[in-house]
Amino acid sequence: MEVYLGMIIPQRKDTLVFGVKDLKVSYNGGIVGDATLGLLADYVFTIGGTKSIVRLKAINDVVDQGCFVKVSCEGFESLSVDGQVEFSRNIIIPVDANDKPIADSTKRVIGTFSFYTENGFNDVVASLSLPHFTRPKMTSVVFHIDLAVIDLSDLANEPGMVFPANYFADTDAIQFREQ
Amino acid sequence: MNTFQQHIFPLLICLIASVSLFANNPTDSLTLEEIQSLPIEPIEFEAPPLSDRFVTTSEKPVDNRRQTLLNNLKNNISFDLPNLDLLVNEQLKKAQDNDKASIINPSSNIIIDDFAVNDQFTHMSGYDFKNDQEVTKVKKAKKLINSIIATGNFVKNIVTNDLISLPVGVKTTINNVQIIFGVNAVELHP
Repeated sequence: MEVYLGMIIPQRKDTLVFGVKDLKVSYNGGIVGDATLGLLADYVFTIGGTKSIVRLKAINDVVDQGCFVKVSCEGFESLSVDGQVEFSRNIIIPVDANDKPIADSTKRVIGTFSFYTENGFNDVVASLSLPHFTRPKMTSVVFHIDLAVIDLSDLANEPGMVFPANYFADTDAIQFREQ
Repeated sequence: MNTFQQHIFPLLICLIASVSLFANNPTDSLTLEEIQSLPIEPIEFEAPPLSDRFVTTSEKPVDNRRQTLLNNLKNNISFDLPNLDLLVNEQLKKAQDNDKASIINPSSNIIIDDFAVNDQFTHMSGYDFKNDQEVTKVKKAKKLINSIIATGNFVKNIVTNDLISLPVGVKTTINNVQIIFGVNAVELHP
């Protein structure tokens, strides 16, 4: 059975598509075996204006990585995302093993993240792994971050998140989703 | 003996007894001792004339410690803030002029990364295809999803009987995200 799954993202006005060619269904109904559909190609979008991009990675069975969904006869069950976020060199630049800034303009700081959700893309809070980096105009200071969190959730925050003073003072003005 | 004599005699006896008792005790803390005064020796001092005791501001003697400190600072600080601004602007101009070789100034600790000046991503949202196969697969999947939406051929569960009329789909909505699981083709095996 050739099946596809489309996840329509209203904010992006686009559809994330997952697929598999040889999903087996028994005669009495019910999916046989592992019902996993992989993301068919890398999906990229910018966040924070033009300062960084998020890449959701296509399924790659060879290296066992990429985004996939689990399905049952009732449809969608869960989503596993394997992605990376790439930062403009205007914000941060990578450093070498000796904490010296890398001058090569093609090298950017790339963080990796992965998460699992049963509630779609509106409920994503993921830990982000970042290599050491420095600021472009302050290269004598190198940042080592043990834990960074990427919060794309409408429903929840990372446990332990502390907001700045008066963060909720003008809630009507908060427009964190790009239109 | 009259009444007055009867009262005065006991009083006199008490007075004499108390005086003799205190007379044999050592001196108490309130007793003053004689102070020995030391001889005062004259100091040989000749006051300087009034004009020498006050100097005008312009004639104030140089404080050597302060001058040494200022000299040390002058020798050890490479940049003050206005000069720092000039240096940064100069480096930025070189970056704009693409004079990459002179950007990193080894004589200072301040390093300007010229490549960071204009590194912005194009506003994007979409697939980043690596090959034609990926393009074909995504097109096919989107076509299927749109076709199921257009025909409205949705079922609650995918069971064998539902696979007669294709394409068929199962729709789920989770937190405003519509998810459509669609079947495009089926191969029957005995």
